[in-house]
Parts: sequence; structure tokens; C-alpha cells
Amino acid sequence: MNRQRDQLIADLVSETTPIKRTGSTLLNISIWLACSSVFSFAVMLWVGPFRDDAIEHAMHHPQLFIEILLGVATIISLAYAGFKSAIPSPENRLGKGFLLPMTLLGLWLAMQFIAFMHPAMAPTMEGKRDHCWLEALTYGIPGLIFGTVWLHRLWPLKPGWSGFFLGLSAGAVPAVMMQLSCMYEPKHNLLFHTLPGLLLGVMGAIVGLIFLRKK
Amino acid sequence: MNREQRNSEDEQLWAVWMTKAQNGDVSDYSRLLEQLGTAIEQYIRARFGEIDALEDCVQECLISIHEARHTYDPNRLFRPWMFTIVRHKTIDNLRKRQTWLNMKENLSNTFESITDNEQLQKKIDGVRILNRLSPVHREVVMLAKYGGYTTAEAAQVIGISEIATKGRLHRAMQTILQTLEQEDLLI
Repeated sequence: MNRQRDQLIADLVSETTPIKRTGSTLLNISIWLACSSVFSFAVMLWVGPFRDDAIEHAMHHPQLFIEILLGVATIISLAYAGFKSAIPSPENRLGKGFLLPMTLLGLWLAMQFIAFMHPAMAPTMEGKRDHCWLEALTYGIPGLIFGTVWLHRLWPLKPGWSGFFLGLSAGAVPAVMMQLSCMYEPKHNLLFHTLPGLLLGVMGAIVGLIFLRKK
Repeated sequence: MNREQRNSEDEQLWAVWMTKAQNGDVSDYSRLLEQLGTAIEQYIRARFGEIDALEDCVQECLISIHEARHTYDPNRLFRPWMFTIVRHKTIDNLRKRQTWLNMKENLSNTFESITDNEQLQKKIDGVRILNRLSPVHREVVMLAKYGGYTTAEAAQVIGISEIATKGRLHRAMQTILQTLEQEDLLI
């Protein structure tokens, strides 16, 4: 064997100490999602109340219920894709692990477009928040930062994609919550709640390319 | 023993050794890295052919595996985890190398286009002075001054921050200036 390689191996071995494994992906996601959701919920509640009859609306209007359910499923699957992509595995090649989250995201957006023609319920101004788009955009940022620090401890081979999925998931959390706290009107929902969340995906990709790249 | 059997044996052995290495076992880790070095070399040869700087590539893969060892989950297969890193690192390495080769080619084209003797002498002096720089300084000067890269792009190629690249370039240019002054080549 090559002398240089022997030397390198000797150096690597000499600095070997017991290390802490990354833990299960599901546990990582659960903790991250819980922190992001609790943060968004708490700040949203602090800034303004949720709609009084939001839960009742969701229960009595199946379309709205499905829309919210799809939103939650999208958040979880995007977070899973983000965290999973930060651990080396052949499953992370594009098209394999990313198919489900992107499909769910597409379905969630499609439901919101369908609501343009068939609103889930009668549009209402009740609960209108003055700067909901800004809230939807900013409440996801701490989750993105926290998640980026977390992913940095792993080993993302596609940092842009990892950041993209993490950003989308972080942005979708307040977007879904806004469906229950802000006024209901399909166009308003898409433009002022969901779109800022999607922007966080772009932000996440940039953040990932800058901070998650392994030298 | 056929290939599948051998792979399966390697899989079991390497997984155990890596798990022990995660717990700080030095002797098994050393054996693991030695075997991985050979396996990676064979893999790169088989997948990418006889590439230049094969040894550099193998060593970078070993470093990456070492740095990513905390992400290996003993409940999962070792080989797919390892070869994902190797594949990614090798492609990354080849890409960087291609950029470097393109740059060198651009530089040699520049030399070929020179017809005037005085101009040629200046270029030769330039190369001589470049050769006196340390490899890290030479790299940054080549990228930023000859390759036409911005400091941000050069930083990305080298793999350091933009601020560090600017600092490195500044120091390299100062060294060049001093050399030119010493040799009375400053115009």
C-alpha cells in the first residue's frame, strides 16, 4: 500500500475517540417539528388570537379538513426528506426519497387552487390578521435556522436540496396554522399564507448551499 | 468464493468494525480504513476508469468517511452508506479537477497566442514568479488573476470562505510584489 495513505490512516486513527451517533431520523424530525410548531403556535397566539370557530370549521367542512390534513402530511414528509437527505444513503438520489414529499406538496397546492372554484366554506373576514404574510414568512425562519444547525451536524451530500426541503417544511408550519387563525378566503390563503412558506424553501436552498456544504 | 459472498462477508465485517470505531476502538478502525482504501480504489477504477490523481481521490474519500462516521447507523447496511460517500466525493473531485484542467488549458492558449518576444519574456517571468509562491498562494492567484474567477468563485473552488480567499490573495500579491522588487522587474 501507498506510504502516504498509510500515514493518512495513522493520522485518522490517532484522532479517533468515541463519537455520538446521529440518532434515528424519526426522533430528530419529531423534536425539530415539535420545536418549530410550538414556536409558531406560541408567537401566533401572542400576536393575535386564532379564529374562535376554526376547529369547528375544519370538522364540519371536509374539504378544509382534507386541505389541512394534506398540509400537515406535507410538512412531515418534507421534514423527513430534509433530514433523511443529510445522511449518506443511495435512497437519497433525486426521484427516490423526494417523490412522496413533492407529490404531497403538489396535492396540497392543488387543493388550494381547487378552492378558487369550490371554496371549502363561505369566505369570511373573521380573524383577519393585518400582516399575515409577514407572520407566515417570519415564523418559519427560526425553524429553518434551528434545522440548519441540526443538519450541519449530519452529513448532507446535496446541501441545496436538504436546505430546500427543510425550508419548505419550516415555511409550511405557519402556513397551515394560518388556515386556522387568519381569515378564510382561498386566494388570500394561497397568496398570503402558502406563498411566503414556499419562499422559505428558496431561502432554505440558499442557506443550505452556503452553510451545509461539506469541504 | 464468489463476489456476492465476498461482499456479504465484507459487509458484516466492516459494519462491526465501524460500530467498534464509533465506540473508540482504534485497532479495528485502522484495519477497516486499510481495507476500505483498497475497496475504494477498486470501486473508482471500475466505475470511473483509470483517472488521474486516483490516490488523492481515495484519500479524500477516506477522510470523508472518517468525518461522516457518526452518521453510520449500525442497524443499516454499511456498504451502501460508504459507497454513497465515495461516489459523491469522486464525482466532486473529478469536477474540481476538470475546472482546474480547463483553467490550465486557457492559460496555455494564452501563451500560444503570444508572438512578441518581449511579451513572451514577461509571461515567462510571470510563470517563474508564480512557481516561487507556496501552493496555496499559487492556486488563489491562478484562479483569481489568470482564470478570471471572482473571489467568491475562487473561494468556492478552493473550499474556503470568501474573506479567507481575499486575505490569501492579498498576501500572495504582496509576495509577488516583493519578488518583482528584488529582481528589479517592477515597471
